[in-house]
Amino acid sequence: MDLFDLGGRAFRARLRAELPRWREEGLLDERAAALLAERYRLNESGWRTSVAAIYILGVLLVGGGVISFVAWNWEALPAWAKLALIGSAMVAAHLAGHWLWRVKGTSPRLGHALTFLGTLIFGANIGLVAQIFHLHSNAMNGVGAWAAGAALAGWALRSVPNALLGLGLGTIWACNFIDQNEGVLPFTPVLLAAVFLPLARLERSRLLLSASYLAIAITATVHAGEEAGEGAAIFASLLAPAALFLSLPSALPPESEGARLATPGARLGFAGWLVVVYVASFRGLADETGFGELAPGTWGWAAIAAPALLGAIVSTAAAFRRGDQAWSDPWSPFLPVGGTILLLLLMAIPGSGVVVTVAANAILAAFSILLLASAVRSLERGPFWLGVVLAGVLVQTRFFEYETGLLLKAIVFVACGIAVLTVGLAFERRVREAAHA
Amino acid sequence: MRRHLGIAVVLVSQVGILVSMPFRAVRARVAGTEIALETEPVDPFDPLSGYYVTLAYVAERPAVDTIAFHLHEPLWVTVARAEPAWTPVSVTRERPAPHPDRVSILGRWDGWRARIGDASRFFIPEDRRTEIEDLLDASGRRGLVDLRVGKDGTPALLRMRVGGRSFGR
Repeated sequence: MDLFDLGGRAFRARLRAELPRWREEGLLDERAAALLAERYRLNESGWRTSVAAIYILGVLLVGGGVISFVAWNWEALPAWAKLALIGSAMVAAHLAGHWLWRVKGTSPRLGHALTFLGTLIFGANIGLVAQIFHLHSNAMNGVGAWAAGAALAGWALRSVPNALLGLGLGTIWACNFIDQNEGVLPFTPVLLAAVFLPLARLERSRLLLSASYLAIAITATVHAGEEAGEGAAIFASLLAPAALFLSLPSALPPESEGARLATPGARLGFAGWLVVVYVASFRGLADETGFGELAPGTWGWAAIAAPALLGAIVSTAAAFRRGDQAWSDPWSPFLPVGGTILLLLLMAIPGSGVVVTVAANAILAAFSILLLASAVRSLERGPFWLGVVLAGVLVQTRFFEYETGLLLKAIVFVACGIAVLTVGLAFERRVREAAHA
Repeated sequence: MRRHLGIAVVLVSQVGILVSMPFRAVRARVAGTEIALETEPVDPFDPLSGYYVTLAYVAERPAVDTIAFHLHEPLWVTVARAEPAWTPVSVTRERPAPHPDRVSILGRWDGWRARIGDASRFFIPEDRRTEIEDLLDASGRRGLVDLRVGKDGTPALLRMRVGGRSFGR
């Protein structure tokens, strides 16, 4: 069960407020209003989500208090009494939560939150055991143990908050594990994927799925940085998973459950992809991205990047075969996945800094043009202003990056300003005319 | 019965993790050899377990002509019986042969020196922090630590002695 349903809440609140007025003005008949109310679940007041958020916030604070109490290390209380007190608090939170959620069933959200509190107190108990026995072979072992307990709770109780805690702690542990164990295969991103992706699918949690994407990308990148220490490995380890995540919904029928689940993660992938390509558009940074810079035997990171790229290609091919997405759609995977393949191929050319820079700039410019063209067709403000901002940032960045005459800079910036004013106002005029028509 | 399975798995696994964590330390405390080592502590903070004194032992610094270790490589720190603290003998890759007046402790190479990681943090109550800090300053940041070392080389911290005062159980 996903405690939070973030998607479309603001829209539903607005629609809930507007529907009665539309009925009064005769814009909608009763049947249409009822259908809209059913489709967008307008009769649900939203208090359940708010209450769940309050419970989670409350138990986070209580859990923080318990952890602080343990860290205080009260000398007057013997070790056995501390263990008994904090240990029984953990068991009591779990059992009370189970009773309210699964046995009695009267307060499932409070019960669920209490099991989450139980796992937070489990973390406090780990700190307490380490404190009593002065354990410290590696502080991250405790974080790993906490992550394992939270992940187990996530699976055993089918609990997204427990799983999210496990994922966050697991990511911290994985990054430290990579730091402490050089030369190992990049199994930690695979481990996180194997533990949390199936649970996200089972629980239909977009939040857990998106967070898992982020965790996989972070650990794959940290591994690449620790193993190879070169921009090429880091760049490829970010770019390929981003391309995979942004292309996944396109591989599925648009109305399917899978596409709905993968969409927020795809937006995250798009944002990550844009940032990485923007970084590669700097000449000084692109010079560090050649595969030729990598030392022999430092290709372990490719065990993640290569399958991710293959997955992105397969997803894009599936979208192409289905034929319901146009090349000109800026949110289709064609440009980003094609651009990713191009950049990775160019990185294999010796001394590839210049061509990678040119390609990255061209890809961003093309994406900006696609956004603007799509906005002109659909008269949507979002893609239009994103396209304008992207184009503006690109032009200004290049003029700041390269040494050019101040007069030329002045002319270009003024021209950009005039272009934004002219095109922006023309677009807004067209939107207004279309609205009146 | 099946509806209780989930919570049973959570409780058994989380309690199991908590019980298994100190297993080697408890075994060393019960059946290990008690030694005292000279230490040069500092005191930072751990958000989970509170304030602690980081213990750096004189015995962790090997002789200049010591063999080269890889980062994080396991090693043995051997000390010999003496008063008031046991004295360093060697830092070696292989465990030295047993000797009635010597004890070998399992550690790792941190790039500069051996680290007895399992005995590198001594947790202290927040209320005693200032007192311990003052005693450390007065004693030139030197003290003694009592440990028990298990047959497998696992150390378990018992108490810290600074400026004539003893901390820990």
